[in-house]
Amino acid sequence: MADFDASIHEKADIGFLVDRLATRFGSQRILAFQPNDTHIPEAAWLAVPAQYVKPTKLPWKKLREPGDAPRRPLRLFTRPEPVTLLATASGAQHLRWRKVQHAVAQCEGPERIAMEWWRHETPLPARDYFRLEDGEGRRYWLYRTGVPPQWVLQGIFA
Amino acid sequence: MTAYAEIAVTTNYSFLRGASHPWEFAGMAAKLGLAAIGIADRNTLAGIVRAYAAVQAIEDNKPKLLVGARLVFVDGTPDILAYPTDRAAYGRLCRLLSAGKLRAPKGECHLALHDLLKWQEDLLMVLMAPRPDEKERVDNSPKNFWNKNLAHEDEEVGELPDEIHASAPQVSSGEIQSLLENLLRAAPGRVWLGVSMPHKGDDRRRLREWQRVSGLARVPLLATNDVLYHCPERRELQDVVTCIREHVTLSEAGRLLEANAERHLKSPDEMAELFHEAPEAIAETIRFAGRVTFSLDQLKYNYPDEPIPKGKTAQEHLEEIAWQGAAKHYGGVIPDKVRFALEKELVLIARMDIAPYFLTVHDIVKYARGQDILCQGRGSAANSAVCYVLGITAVDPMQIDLLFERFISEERKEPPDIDVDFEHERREEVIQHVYKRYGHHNAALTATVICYRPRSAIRETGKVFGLTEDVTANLASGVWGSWGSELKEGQVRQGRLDPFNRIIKRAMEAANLLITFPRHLSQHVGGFVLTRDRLDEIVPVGPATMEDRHFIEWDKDDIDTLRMMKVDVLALGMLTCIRKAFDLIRIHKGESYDLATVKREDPRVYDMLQKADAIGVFQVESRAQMSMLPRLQPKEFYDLVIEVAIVRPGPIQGGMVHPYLQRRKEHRESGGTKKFEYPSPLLDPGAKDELIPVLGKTMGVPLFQEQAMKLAIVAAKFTPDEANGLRRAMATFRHVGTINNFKEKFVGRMVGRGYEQEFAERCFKQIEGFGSYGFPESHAASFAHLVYISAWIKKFHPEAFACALLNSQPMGFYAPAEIVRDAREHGVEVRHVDVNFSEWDNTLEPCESGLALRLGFRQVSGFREEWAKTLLASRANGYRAVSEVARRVRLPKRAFIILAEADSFQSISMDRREILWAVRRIADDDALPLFAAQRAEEQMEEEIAPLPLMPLSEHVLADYQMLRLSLRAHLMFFLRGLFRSEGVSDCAEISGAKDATPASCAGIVLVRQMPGDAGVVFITLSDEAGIANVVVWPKLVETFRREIMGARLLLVEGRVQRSPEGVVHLVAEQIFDRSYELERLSEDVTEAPSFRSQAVAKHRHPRNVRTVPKSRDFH
Repeated sequence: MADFDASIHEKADIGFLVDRLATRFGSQRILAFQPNDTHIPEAAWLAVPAQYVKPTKLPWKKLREPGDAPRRPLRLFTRPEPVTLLATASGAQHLRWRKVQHAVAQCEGPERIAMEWWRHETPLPARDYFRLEDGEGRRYWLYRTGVPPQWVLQGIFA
Repeated sequence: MTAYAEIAVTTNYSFLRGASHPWEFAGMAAKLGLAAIGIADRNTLAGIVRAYAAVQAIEDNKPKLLVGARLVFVDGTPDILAYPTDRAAYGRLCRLLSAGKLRAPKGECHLALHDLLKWQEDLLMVLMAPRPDEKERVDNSPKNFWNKNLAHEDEEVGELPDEIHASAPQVSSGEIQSLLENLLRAAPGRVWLGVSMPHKGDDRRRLREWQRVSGLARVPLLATNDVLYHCPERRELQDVVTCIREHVTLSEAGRLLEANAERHLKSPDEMAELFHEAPEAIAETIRFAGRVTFSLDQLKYNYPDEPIPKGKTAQEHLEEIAWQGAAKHYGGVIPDKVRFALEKELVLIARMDIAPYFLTVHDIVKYARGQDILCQGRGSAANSAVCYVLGITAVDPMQIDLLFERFISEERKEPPDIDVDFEHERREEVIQHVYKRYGHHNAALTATVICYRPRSAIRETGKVFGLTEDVTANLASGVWGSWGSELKEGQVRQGRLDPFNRIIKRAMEAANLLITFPRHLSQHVGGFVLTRDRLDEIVPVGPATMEDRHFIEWDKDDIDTLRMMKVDVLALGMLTCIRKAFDLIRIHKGESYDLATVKREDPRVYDMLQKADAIGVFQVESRAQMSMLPRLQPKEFYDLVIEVAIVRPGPIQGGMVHPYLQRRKEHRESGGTKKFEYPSPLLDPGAKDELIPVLGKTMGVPLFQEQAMKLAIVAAKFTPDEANGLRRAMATFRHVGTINNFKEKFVGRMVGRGYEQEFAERCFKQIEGFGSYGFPESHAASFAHLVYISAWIKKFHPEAFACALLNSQPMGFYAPAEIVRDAREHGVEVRHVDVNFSEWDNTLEPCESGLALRLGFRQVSGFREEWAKTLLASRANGYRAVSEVARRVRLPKRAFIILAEADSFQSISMDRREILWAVRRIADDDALPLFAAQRAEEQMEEEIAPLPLMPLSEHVLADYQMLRLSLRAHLMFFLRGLFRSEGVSDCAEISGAKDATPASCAGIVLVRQMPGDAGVVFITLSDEAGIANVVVWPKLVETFRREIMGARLLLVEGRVQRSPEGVVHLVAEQIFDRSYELERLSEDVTEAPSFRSQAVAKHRHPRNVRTVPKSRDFH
């Protein structure tokens, strides 16, 4: 998969490259990312065959100002994974993911994102996203949803 | 529990941004236990009085109401909330907003920071810290604009330099800090930084940053939730209105919508939790609220000063002219009853200090009379003897028992509400006078709040949900007129759509919520507010459509709530008609009449009304009224008063009409001796006869609005306050919806005293019906006066009546075709429009039997008044040929063609086709020089080869097309053969049929009516033999909605229903749209095949069908 820069003066060359690659590999395997205007993180981008990409009016929006915390992780899981958060008697918190326990050092949040109610028959609950850092410095992006609350890991920061 | 006040509330008066009504916020604030609530809508104070009224009505946990506005700037300044601390500061806020509105196009408000700096004295200002998503807006504006030195002249209303208009820049915290410092310099101690916690993930981080900024700028932090709706469930509606505002669908809106549902009113504990790292911000809200001492109470009673003769007070002057007027009215000797009433009223007026009010209205009426404009007071003002002797109203205290308490009540402490009807064509003169008299700073029109109606609501929400135009149009057209109150499932089905389809269901739910949401403000037609202080220091004003006129942001209910002086300069078509009739009678018959000198109580007038011969008569000409007349058999003036009041949703809904008529019949039959039993409270035997004074006049049946009120006081023992509340709820039930609280009290207490449950519930039902449609007795009496006069004119001067009616259109229930038909049935000769005899207006001409009605050029579609003037100016001895007309009169060729098509040359030739041909020979307007010679004397008349005669049907069709009526024949006449062969009766046969006969009838649809909420539809059909009234029950309405709503010609099969008094209706069982029959009229009629087809495919509107005038639709 190639990620393309949208600068105009390279467009012609890139288009040529895309065509050559597509002929070799099949057009459905050469994809480009298109931005999608939505709050829902996993829907914020679409991968479409590069040959059919239309120039879009929508620029990739900067979500982050210099000095701000990152809002979205670099890696988003295609299949978010359920995790659990446990609290020990001493009050320390642990994240349990893929059967491994990680101690929670700090967290920030919640970023509350409500679901697109017009798409669903019955209303889906909102998600509270948190950024979590464990004892080893790894940063996770997970959300809590539903009643009783479930925790889901959706991404990892670099 | 923590104490908290929410300072930043946006209601739905920030059009298409807020998603809850002010009263919903008030209620929720009380429920959550907020100490205060600050309503701050975008650049407006339109919703503030609603909020005030709602808060006043709260009994438990009443929050303090803070009045303010959210200033939204065009120069890139972030939003600033402005709350006035006192009355003077409030005046400044109003001036600020007015300045912004007057310099902007209608509906907008353009403000720049320097405007605020000019008017900011004693205003508390909260700079709203930008939220994270606001940083993403496109940046093409000059930064730090507020630091630029803008040296502008100190103008009242200045133009903003172009470079100011910019979209919001990316605002950094550094820029916020410098803006705060700027503001603080101008307004020390009155600046805050308002912060909210929008659940964006970095809330705490941001909060710390703002704490830092506020520390540096030395400005306290203020906690808010920047509220858009009162409960989280409204998020969906807020998304919908955002989409409507931005013209996108929900799927396209993307991040224009809020990410979550957090912007609702939150409880103090929740807010404290959110701000637990900045508790000082929470405490600051209470301190902030404490500094606001302004309340809308301080605006009350701001009456204009009346020019009063030197040396006298308003009260003294009023008393003097009142006694003078009384002496004049009663010929020097004032009857005791009147004297007593006047004394009582004048004492009360003095105590309440409202003499200026009467003087104001008296002045306006005096002006109108001086200009010979007919006018008459209406409404509860007709309860006042003072108003009568001052000539404001026409209800004689000798005739009707006046209930002055209905008009003014000391306990209510309300200003009197005097509405005056003027001739509708001359009302503008009166309005001009008011402006001149009071000045443009103290007089302005009130607003009307235009709300979403069912049709527009479903269209907008449908678009938002992505429904296509044809679907939304379908849903919208299923709603009756634009007054249906809710979209019902059945209506959706009728449009052949599935109401359970998820999207449609959602769109309907959103639409139903959206109905009653304000959409924009519009100026009211005749409602004026007059004040002593500058109006734009009391309420923001904006530009009205006419130059130099302003209208305020509040509507009539708001003005009532604040006890401001409101005068309604209303228009009544019938007054114009009456005056025109009087003028005609004076000119042609030499008899001079006015509203007071017409002979009263002439039995012949009542005879005419008893036979329901009432087309054109004020108020009683509708189908419903005409069915009531034979049942009520009015014999005297008071019967007319009852007639006017009884055919209204109030009494009908309360089920009082039949009992009344029944009792009346018994009373009459017994020769006036029958005594009726009145319901009485069985558990309070001492008050057995308590209802007699209340209901005696109407035989024990409550028919008038004030009887309903008196019932509440006497039978349900309401205290004056409660009765007031009930009265207010009755009048504004569409806004506040508190009427149900009263229902329990009313019914409960009556039953508790021993009244029958059923009677109590019926009484209350009537009260609900009275809400918007009930008539007070005095108002009915004012109107009854006009009923009598118009009936008198119709009876004794039918030609003048018809002529005046036609000249006063549009008004009334019937179209000109019916007015003309009715006049002819009464023996009036009606003459066609003619170039040699007609004027623009319809006129009267001498004829053998007296006076004939000559139709005027105004009846001809497409003909202009200035053309008529030109034609008349050159007429002299008359025109003898078409060419002569063309030569002498300078008019565009089109004018002649129109005249010819309308057959206006009959005095020259009866052959329409010949005239049409001759007219086409007239030179074109921009004629070539060669043809200019034609303007000169013609050599000789050209011989025209004989043309085939036009068949009658074509004449009639052409008449309908040009005049909307025909003097020759009715359209149905030509289709009679066809319908006869199908076994269809004509309208006269229906009127004469016996009860329960099966019958069918066809005719042109004149009027469609769906009164009340019952869903029953009444249709009036017309054919050459008369008219027929058709009733369609709700179930059938659903089945035949298309036919009912769209057809011009209907065939109805059903059963005749004849009442004992002779009132006939045709109850529909099947309905067919036969509009396409009208197509055959211009072809050879005799060969028409007889076929019956229910399958009317698409609705075609050929020219012929269109010539049939559209029916009038009423609610």
